[in-house]
Amino acid sequence: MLHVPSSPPTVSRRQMLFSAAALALLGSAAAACGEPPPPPEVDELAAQLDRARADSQLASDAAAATPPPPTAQALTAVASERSAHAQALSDELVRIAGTKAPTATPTTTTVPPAKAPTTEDVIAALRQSADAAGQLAATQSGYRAGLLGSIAASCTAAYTVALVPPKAAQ
Amino acid sequence: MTSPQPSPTTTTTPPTTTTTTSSRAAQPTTPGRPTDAANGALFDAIATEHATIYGYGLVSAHSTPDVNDLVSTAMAEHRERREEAIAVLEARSVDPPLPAAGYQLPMEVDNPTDAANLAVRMEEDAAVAWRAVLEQAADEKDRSFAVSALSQCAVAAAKWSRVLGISPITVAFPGGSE
Repeated sequence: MLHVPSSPPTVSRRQMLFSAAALALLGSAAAACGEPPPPPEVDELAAQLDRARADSQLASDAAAATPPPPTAQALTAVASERSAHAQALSDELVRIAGTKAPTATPTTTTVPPAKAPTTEDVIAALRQSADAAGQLAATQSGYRAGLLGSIAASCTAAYTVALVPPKAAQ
Repeated sequence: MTSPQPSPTTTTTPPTTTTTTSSRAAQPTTPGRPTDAANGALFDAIATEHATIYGYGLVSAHSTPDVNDLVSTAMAEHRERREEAIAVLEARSVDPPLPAAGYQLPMEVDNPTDAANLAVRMEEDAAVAWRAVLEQAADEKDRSFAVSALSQCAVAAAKWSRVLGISPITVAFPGGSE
């Protein structure tokens, strides 16, 4: 609109209705376009979820490789704790991304590694997971920060205490 | 809260506020909890650390020599963490909580097993307090500090659980209720 009309424009009632309808359409179209970009934390949480699932699988495989009973027990506990983490992370992803299911696809049906993982492999994986969860926790806020902090703490306790034989632990 | 609680008998202040303070001039006044959520959570965590450090004195008294290292490491960690947290609050001109004159224990502590049980409980409570700090914190530095605190509490709890022969010695969500 470059010029200002000197007299008020005459708008018929029908025109008014049409433009209102057009605006409403435009509005809903804009809203639809505005929806797709997911919150940035979705990817980061999905990465944590993948880690939790992978660690759980790794610990199960290591436990299946028949280490001494106390270690096997600890590995089984790690597997179940990491799968509890995966569940909590998946719940949180569902919560922030609406009704959408977590994007992570369980691709654990691949060929098992030639050599069974050892306790040391699990310790190394948990150390990385603890660092990753702890770093992400510091950049998040509220419940998400708390959840990631608890996950980091759980991984730390597992790799520094539970998976280390008692004599060496203290 | 199941950690040692401030004993009401020793810490109650007279309900009537007197304008003349001469008789009680030496008595420090307990600072109130800050209204700000982040500082409030930190204030609570310091109060929990005061209680935990007090409780570890009893744990130490009732433990066997083979857990000396565990007692001294845990106690040192709680002390250091308390001092750092106090410094953070003071840097924001917020008065930190004072330790209570005495604390009520959540359980009888008469032997090494009781001592280890109290230690596990205190570490769990400290983890809850630090997770609250983590959730309420407004800046990244506070959150990193809270993550370390939470992790140290989880590690100490696992070590004490091992002393007690509990299995598994770790939990999935230290400080959380998931």
